[in-house]
Parts: sequence; C-alpha cells; structure tokens
Amino acid sequence: MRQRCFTETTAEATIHYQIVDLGRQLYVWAAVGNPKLGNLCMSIPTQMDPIPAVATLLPSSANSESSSVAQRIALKMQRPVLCSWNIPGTSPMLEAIAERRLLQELRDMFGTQQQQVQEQTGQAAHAEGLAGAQPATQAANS
Amino acid sequence: AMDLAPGFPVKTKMYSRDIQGVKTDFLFSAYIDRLLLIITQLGAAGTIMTTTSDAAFEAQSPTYTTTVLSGKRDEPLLQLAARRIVENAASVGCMRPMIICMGFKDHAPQVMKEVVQAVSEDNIW
Repeated sequence: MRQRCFTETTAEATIHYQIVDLGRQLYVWAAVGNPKLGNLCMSIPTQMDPIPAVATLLPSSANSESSSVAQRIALKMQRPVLCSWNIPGTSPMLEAIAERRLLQELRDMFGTQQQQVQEQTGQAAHAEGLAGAQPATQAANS
Repeated sequence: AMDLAPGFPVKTKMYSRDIQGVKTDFLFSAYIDRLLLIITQLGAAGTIMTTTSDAAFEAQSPTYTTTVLSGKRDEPLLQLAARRIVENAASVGCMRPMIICMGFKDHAPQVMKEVVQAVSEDNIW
C-alpha cells in the first residue's frame, strides 16, 4: 500500500489531495477548506459497459460531482476507485483544475496504462457489492 | 512509503502486520468529521462499513451501530470486529464516526481478534 498527500494553492482556493494505492484499487480524496470525508462513492470498470459502474455509498449534502469524477478516474486508471470529492459544485473551474491535477498525479504514480488495461479488465466483472446500483449513463469526458 | 506535505490537514498512519501468516495493510486517516480505516489483505477495500458511537444520556452506556455500505452483508464477524474497534476507540475517548473497510482472505475468529488487537495497539486516536 502506498500513499501520496499533497496540497495545491490556486488563485481561487487551496485544494488538498490524498491518493492511496491499495494494490488492486485506488482511494482518492480531495477537498477545499475543511478536511471532511463528506461523501463516498465507488466506481468499477466493467465488461458490460464502456462506462464504469458507479454506486454512491455515502451521499453528499451539496451538489457533488463525486460519482462522475470516480467514473472518469476508474475509466482512465482501469481499476476500481473509491472516491471522496469535496470540491464545491459552485466552482466548475476549480473542479476541473482539481480533477486534472488528480489524474496527472495518478499517471505519474502509475506510469503508462497500456499493460494495466489488459490486466485489469479481467477483474472488472467481479464487482463486489454493486448489485442493484444503476450505472450512470453520462459520457466520460477524456 | 508516505509522501506527506508538512501541515497536511489530514493526519494519517500506515503500517503492515502479519495476521495469522498473512500480510495485512492498515491505513488510518483522520478527517474532521470522520475517521477512515482501511484494513486489507487483498489490495482492495473489501467490505465497507460505517460505524457510529452515540454519546450517552447521563448514566446510560453509549450505543454503537455498524452498517454495511458495500460488500459482505452475510459475514457477522466483520461487523462484530468493526464494532469492537469502535468500542475500543470510544473507551479512550474517540467518538468520531468511522468508515471501516475490511478485506480479508479468511474470516476466522482468530483473524478478527488479532486485527482488532492490532488496531487498539496502534492507531491515530
């Protein structure tokens, strides 16, 4: 297991990030301001759909992009992602900056994804605990 | 290895222990509203549970609840282990709600007991 915690200061706000490589899965957390674990969702790539399945485990009170972010990370990294996204929905620019930075850091931590796509899709069908969850049908932006 | 910026607002602790011959990873993260515990032998979060400690009214003892958010709902020893962890934390003054993720190869009572023991000996509260 390995972890990377870092902070980014933008003109608008200070963003804190925590990335944990559990081995076969990722846990990512990002927040502006107070370091809360305000919501939690899980996204898992699946062979049944090009878009990863996603389930909300802990809902967020504010309008949160947590589910979409989790899906995009799961798609890019081709592994299940547990995601807690605490960036205010009122600032799309900040959200975009945070997501881009997170993906950049993940790419740095994991190198190229070509090999990993082949390894990971085999595991994708064994999604635990998502029975009954509706996969979101939003297109993932690249 | 941990890469922690000085002054990072989330306190974390990570370590590995041998539990009944299996390498087990422990990660603790303290947020202001919750604690996150990930305990895994599988490289994955496994069963994800929330726990709460309800502060006592006067003389009554606190109540603890565990709920499975994802994963095995038919393995009572997992919820029991989570409850034990919460009880032990409360006994030293930590009442914060937790998210406890447990991914084990084997759910034998001895495994659960050693995991609970490890957490009570080495944690961030």
